[in-house]
Amino acid sequence: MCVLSSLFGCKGVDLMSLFALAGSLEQGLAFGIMALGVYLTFRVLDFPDLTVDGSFPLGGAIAATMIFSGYNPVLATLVALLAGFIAGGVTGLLNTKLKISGLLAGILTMTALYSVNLRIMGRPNIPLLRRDTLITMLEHAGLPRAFVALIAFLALTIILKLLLDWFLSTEIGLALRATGDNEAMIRSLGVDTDAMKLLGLCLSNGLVALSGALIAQYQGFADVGMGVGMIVTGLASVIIGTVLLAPRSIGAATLGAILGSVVYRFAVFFALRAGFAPTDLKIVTAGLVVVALAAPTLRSRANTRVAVRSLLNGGGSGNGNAGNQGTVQGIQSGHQERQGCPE
Amino acid sequence: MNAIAGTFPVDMGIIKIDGRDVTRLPEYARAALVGRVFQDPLQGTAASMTIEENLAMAFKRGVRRGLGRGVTAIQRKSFKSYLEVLGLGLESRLGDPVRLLSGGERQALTLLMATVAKPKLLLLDEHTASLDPRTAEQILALTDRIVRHYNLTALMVTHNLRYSLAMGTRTIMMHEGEIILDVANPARARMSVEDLLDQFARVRGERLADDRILLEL
Repeated sequence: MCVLSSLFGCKGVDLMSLFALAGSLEQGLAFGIMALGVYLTFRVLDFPDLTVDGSFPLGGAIAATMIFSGYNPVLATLVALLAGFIAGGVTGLLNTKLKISGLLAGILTMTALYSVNLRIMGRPNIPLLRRDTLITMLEHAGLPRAFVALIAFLALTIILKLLLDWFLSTEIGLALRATGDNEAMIRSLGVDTDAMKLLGLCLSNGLVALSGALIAQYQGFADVGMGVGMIVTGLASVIIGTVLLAPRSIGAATLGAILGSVVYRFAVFFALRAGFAPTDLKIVTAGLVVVALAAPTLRSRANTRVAVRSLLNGGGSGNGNAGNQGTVQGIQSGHQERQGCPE
Repeated sequence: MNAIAGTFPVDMGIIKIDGRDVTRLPEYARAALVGRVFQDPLQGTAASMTIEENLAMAFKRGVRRGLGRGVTAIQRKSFKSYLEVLGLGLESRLGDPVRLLSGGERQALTLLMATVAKPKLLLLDEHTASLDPRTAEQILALTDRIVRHYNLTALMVTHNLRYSLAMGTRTIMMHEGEIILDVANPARARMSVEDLLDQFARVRGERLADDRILLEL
């Protein structure tokens, strides 16, 4: 507790906040599965997939409805995953077969899913009080009550991360990565790139819906609005992971996405403690993603400006150096601001 | 080139490669038959992926891909011997992402990737046009070596008249979508760049004359 309080610079961390902090960790891991899905489309396939905002509540809706009706939670979670897989497939087909732009294809599926989710649930909200969920099942199986969600989510998230790492190193995985990197090239090597995009979108949304199913069981309800802004949260996680780890391998990048998700939940926790209204979190998240995405552009512009100025000053070595130092400091402080922003 | 590779569909006529009608085959389905090197060195490789991953994908040209390991230890060994042929020291940089390579190095790697699976036809689409003269010469020499070594059929497009006679065994000159010259060895061996220019000037002169008549100038 002392370590935690000194680490995060908060005075008087009481037992309640420690529980809340542990809760943030659990949520971060469960949302981390969603971040893995976003990583797969956004980074690997280079496909901005907005289906996520619909497939996340889809997973929650299916899991909650099935559990509420008395189905086995394991089965409910697996069906949720499958449904997400299909939702991703719909976006993929819209994009590859009907040539609708990726962004719009995702928006269309997401919008359609809103109706689908309401149909599945029959009402906007389903509580899971006193129902058997994955988490209560594990409690019955003898896992210590305080750690059951932590252990379950940690294990599942790591297993899925390793599976994704493995998949991306297989022959198909290489073809999928190349589809996001240089589509013309991998097509000329005999890969049906449409099939690769379809597969990537299916897998990604399967992960996202699984994450939605877990979150619904964790928080004890599913809500039709639980997916709003989910893609931005996922992007924020992936970006935080990139900043923290500067990943050079797939394994590091997927770890970064999960770590980013956990850090994001901690950031939310501290933002709420600092007095942010929960309703303001989305704008803070969106701002964070804007800053992170704009950073490379702003940085190169600042560098150009300094270079031009030192040239105009007659290339005096003293001036040039001072200017450069200024930029370096500017970048460094910008960097710190960016990392510090969510906190 | 795009018609042969299947990048865009043809309006009329048929395309046969090694006796097989491929006119209706999509680009990815022709991959086993056709290897291609583009003008832009960035086009032939996946920048974020490593040299060995790029080569592994090239080895799977036109073959069904499964869930086997993308790059195996045995492959890695053979990649080294292939890369040694290039003489660029790439064999010791298997794990480097391709984005770190120079334009010439990337084009050499692309050439290797287009040929390792021994396609029936190698398409070279002005593949040295965006390289500096020295690197261009190196890539051309390498092209010649690889084509001879694997005994490949290659079709090279170039605007460089010297290359058009120095490389290969047959020269076809095109102007406004039509073949205006088609010479093969041994007649071709005696031709010079000046002969080509003469031929071109003559055909173009006739064309201009035709146009004048048409327009009644």
